[in-house]
Amino acid sequence: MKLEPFYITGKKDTLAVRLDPQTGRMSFEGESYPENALEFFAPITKWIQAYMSEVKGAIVADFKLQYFNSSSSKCLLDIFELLENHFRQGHSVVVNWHYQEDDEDIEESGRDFAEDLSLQINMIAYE
Amino acid sequence: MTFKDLFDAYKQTTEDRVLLLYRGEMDQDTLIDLGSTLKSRLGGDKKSKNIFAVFVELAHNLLHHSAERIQNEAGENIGTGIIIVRERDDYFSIESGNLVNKEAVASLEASCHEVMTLDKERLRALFLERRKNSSLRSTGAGLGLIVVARKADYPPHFAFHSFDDRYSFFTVSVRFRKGE
Repeated sequence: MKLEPFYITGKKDTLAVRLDPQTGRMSFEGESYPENALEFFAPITKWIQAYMSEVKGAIVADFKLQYFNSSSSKCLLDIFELLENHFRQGHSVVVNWHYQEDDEDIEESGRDFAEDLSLQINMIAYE
Repeated sequence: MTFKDLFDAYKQTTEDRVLLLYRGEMDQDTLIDLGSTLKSRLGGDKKSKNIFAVFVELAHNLLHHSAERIQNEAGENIGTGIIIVRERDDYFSIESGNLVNKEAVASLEASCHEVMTLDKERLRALFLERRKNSSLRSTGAGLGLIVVARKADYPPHFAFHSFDDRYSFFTVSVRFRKGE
């Protein structure tokens, strides 16, 4: 079965997510503090795993978050670990971490993820 | 409540410069609404993001871990408690309170003590270590408490008061310096 694109519209407490199997582009935007982060992120990680095992293609992942709570942070790390694993298996994986230029917390949390991973995270400031 | 009690509560909350006071079930919709109200009342204050982050962790603690629970209309089991945000001349404070089972007090007290005594760099290291090595299925991995301590400008205060034979009342108190 062909892997379909995955879209979720952002809400106040959940991210806008776009996962495209044609281009390998994945984007995550907004704020994340759902009641149950595991439940929210489960279909996303499932899709990414399917992409990795079926499409086996390159990935460009963009994260543009304004706020995320502690349990979302754990789920984001799970996603990064999947991406790292894909990279280790010889695939091209580019990860961009976007932060508003004066937002030190989001900038630091990007660096915190980078510290936990062998995968490079590109830090990109926006106005 | 008599009119006199209500007037006293009004005077007290005015004097205390209460930005937000909520007592009841903390379901996710309530959390989102209160969080938006809090953000708008804090305006553009530089601490607004940190205060909001602590509010979310404390509100989720009520939702998930309070021992006082009710069924809402959707049949979900929702924790209840109290949360107060105050403004003073030189700081903001958030306090939250909820019932916990007496058997749970010892381990909760140990987790609180741990985050109270660590400096910012050690809190960061502890957060990264727990995030990597623990599972969210084990009730949030205790990450929330570490975030509360990391975002606060002073070490958070924790207290337990005996409520009855089964429950204790657990309070968390966090402060943020103003004017930075």
